[in-house]
Amino acid sequence: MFTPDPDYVPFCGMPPLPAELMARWTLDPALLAGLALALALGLWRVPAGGGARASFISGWGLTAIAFVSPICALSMALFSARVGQHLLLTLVAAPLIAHALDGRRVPPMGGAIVFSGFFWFWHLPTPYQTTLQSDAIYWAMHLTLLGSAIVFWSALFGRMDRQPISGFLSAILVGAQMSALSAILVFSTGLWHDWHRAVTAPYGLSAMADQALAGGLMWVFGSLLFVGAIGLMVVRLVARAESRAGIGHATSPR
Amino acid sequence: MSATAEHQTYTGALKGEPNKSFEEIWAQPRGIRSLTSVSHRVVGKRFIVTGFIFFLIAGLLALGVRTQLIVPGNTFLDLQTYNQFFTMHGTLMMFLFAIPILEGFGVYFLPLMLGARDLIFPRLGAFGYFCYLFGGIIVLSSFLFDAAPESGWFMYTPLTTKEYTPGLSADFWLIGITFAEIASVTAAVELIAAILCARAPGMSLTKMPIFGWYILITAFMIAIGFPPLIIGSVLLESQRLLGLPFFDAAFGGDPLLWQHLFWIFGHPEVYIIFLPAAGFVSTMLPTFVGKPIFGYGFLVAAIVTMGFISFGLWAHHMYATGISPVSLSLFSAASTMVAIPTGIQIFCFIATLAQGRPRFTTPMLFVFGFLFIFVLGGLTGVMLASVPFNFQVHDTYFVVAHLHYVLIGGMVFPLFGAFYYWVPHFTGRMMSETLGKWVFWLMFIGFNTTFFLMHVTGLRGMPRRVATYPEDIGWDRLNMLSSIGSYILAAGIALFVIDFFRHLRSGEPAGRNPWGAGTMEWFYPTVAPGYNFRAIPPVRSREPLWDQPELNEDPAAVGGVLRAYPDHRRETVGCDPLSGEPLHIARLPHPTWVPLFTAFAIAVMFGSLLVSAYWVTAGAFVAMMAGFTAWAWEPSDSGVTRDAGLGYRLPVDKADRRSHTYIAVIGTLLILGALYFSLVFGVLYLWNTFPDFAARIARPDPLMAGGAIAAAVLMAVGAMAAKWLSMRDRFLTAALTGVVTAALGAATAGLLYLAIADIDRNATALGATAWAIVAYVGVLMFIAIWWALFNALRKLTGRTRPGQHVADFNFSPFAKGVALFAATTGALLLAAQGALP
Repeated sequence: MFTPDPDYVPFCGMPPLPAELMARWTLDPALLAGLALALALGLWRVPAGGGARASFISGWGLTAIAFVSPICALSMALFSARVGQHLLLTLVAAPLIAHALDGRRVPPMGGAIVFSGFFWFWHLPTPYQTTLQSDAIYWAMHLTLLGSAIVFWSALFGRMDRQPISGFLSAILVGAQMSALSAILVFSTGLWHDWHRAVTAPYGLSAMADQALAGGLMWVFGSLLFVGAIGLMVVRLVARAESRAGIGHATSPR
Repeated sequence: MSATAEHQTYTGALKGEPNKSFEEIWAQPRGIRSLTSVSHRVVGKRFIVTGFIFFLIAGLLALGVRTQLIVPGNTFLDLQTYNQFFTMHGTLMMFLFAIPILEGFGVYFLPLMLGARDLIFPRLGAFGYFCYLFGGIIVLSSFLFDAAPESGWFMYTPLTTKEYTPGLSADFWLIGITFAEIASVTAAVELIAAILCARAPGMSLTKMPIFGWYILITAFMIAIGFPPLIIGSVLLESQRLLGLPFFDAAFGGDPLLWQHLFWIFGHPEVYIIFLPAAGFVSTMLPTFVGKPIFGYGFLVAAIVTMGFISFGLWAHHMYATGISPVSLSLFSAASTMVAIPTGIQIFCFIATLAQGRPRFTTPMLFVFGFLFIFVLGGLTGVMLASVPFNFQVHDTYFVVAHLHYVLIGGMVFPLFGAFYYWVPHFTGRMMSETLGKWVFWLMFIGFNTTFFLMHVTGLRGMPRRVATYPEDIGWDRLNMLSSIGSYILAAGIALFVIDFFRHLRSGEPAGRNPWGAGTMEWFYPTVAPGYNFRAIPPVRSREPLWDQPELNEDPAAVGGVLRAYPDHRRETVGCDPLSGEPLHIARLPHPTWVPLFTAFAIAVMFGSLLVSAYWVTAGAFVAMMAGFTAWAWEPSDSGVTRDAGLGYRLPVDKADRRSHTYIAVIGTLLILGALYFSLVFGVLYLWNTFPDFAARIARPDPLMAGGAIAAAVLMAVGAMAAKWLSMRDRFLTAALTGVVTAALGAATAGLLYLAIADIDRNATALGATAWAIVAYVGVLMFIAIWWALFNALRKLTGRTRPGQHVADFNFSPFAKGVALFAATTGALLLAAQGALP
């Protein structure tokens, strides 16, 4: 069993007060080195041209912002900020990075099940608590969450034009589980994460309101981002099929 | 794999009718035998006519409501009858008119538009229709017993529990509507499989008419959206019948759980109704503008995103239930989100109009009526999305006005346009343009008089669902005018009915393609023969009749696949879902009594449940299982190949992941998954909302739960092994493996039962929900066991011939899906065991 260390400071630091927030950048050398390594790896592996590289760099940039900027510190005070960080990573950065990768080897349903599993697991009380008690577990959480999100999105993008049915079913699963989790958070009558009990007040939110906000963010911005990504994917798929078949130019009504 | 190998030992045509010509094979049975018809043309028309009759009945009830409200202090209806009238009005309109009639249009027109001779599961279509009819009759018959539902169309708990609604009225609603919903979900599976798997050669998904996309996404939404309500209804009915406390706050249940389940269905329902109607609009617009629809790709994306968004928005029907202010403001923002895909569609329609010079026919008038009314309804929707305004007009006539603007504007006006547009296809004659314009203007003026004024009535504070109101508080004249408007609206609809009967005798013959449309349903002169296509022509365009001149020649002589019919069977071509390339020949059933018999058995089952005659219920259950077994117990035609024409040589009923039967199994699993998900949502919701009650229930047995997971995994492996053996024609070992698979399924269900045996299902809502989940998994296991034994028995009795693998091929994903639900249940019980104090 895991025993918490009372002197342990989480990776993003102790919860900041609003006044000190903007000065709380996370300039941890290991983090910066890891980000640089990921960038180098991406630039080496992702071919130039076709927008893939630009997509990768913007996804990487958002990932860097999510960890280096004060978002990281704020997520120590507010659960809603933590959820916002996770949404930014899994629903914006991950599809951007996935767009640059070749996901044709992974079945989308498998990716969706693994991602959904991690998404629920890391937001449940006990696992969430442990990420605030060990750097290793904190990074295990982020790497599994972001990694499985990238795998899911790249599988979806890579297989959509060959397996649209399982692609859609996997998208339905991911959307549904996210709505369900957020609904349960929003309508909860008890506090899930003790960590945030005493640290949200300086931001003008009770801990329960912060939790409801987290659920609401996941529900609303989660669906908005998710649906936006799906919509863009469909537009691109149809456009690609149209240009292949020459539709849209040759139709001539009588 | 020997799936396509030719076997010389049998002909592959055990069910053919060798003495009949092509036309005779497809002929519709006459007289009493017409009840055996399985043709989509017959079933679709039945859906439409029945739905329209429900529309007229519900409309008459609405006139009763408006007559009661015409003057203050009126005594035209007593309070109880008034409640019954508005409840039944909403119930019939939403469940027995809107969805079935739209599905009817899909059932009737999709095969014609997509290039198929019939919908891909004709018996399922007929079965669904009879379920709908019997369910509707059960609901309607409540009037005869003076037990019509009276709790409003959304049946909120605790009003609908046994304490506050004794008697049978709520049971009529719950049982009848659940039955009718079986029809909706079966039709959804059928439409998904038909759209994806049975199109003309070369019709890729992106060459499909936009109507196909609208119905495809709607069908997916039905498959996911109806299960929460089915679960809610089953839970509420078992609370009423068995006393399980799902919604009872005293036992840790939550009346709001009903609202969640209802609106997880109810919000998508609005779009389920709107999308097919928008599909009508986007089919009629190009015809009358003379140009293809603008922005096909954007439309498809808008339809898909609308489907996704609609499932995330249910909470905006629950603003007044005490959601925290922070979440409310987010929901408010989210509710306006749906304006984006709706806006994209409306702008695509407007851009299509701007491309050419529209012809102002009657259908076009209705399209304009749709645009006008629906946009207004959308605007009041944006108003209602704002929290303070919503609180102000909550449960007033403003909401009534808004929902009628959305539903009548978004669905009824396109529907009447569609009637004028497509009636020639049903009857071979044109309806009157002159009378049609009268119908439109009467409906348009009557509608706006009735409902525009209701906005004002609502803003002046009149609550909905009150049977009368006092004089001189500013509501009299508005109500009087609304009621007069409703009579004008009714006169328009009556004129439509008159015009319909008039045109049957004296309407102009329609001939071929009367509107100059580009879609394939107008390929034959009206009325098209029951087989739709003598040979199925290749399609290269979204508007084939505009772009492919050869299709405007003699339709019986146009070249295509399946002109020859060597086995004298009804058949159509099954395609690759994506490219539309022919994949196999799909053999279709001939007329049969089985769908009617099975649906009737289920009707008896539900009806006897209603009157608590449980022995009859048991007998009807046996009859139902016999019906389903007879349905499947017929010789298989698969395992041979045939020349299909145009150089294609195709297998018959191929065992393939792209075939319609496999896709249908996946679609069924989607529905079953949504049902399961709804129950799990219930458990997590209750646990999280009333954690104190979780402490009161007994811990599940971890050993049994773990054993159930293991047995479920083994069962999935068994099903895969049976498939593997069967695909290699090793039928004896495959049959034995199937029996072992069935035994493992039974073991899984038994172990799950033992795991929760100590939990008292009457003491807490959470315990009751745990039982409900295990009971549901038990039902699925029963089906899986039945299927496994059925496959084994067919092999052991020599009814499976070499090369026939479809049954085992399709059982495997079903067994895996059911095993996944069972294993998830076991895992949830283990997690609960660890988390319970």
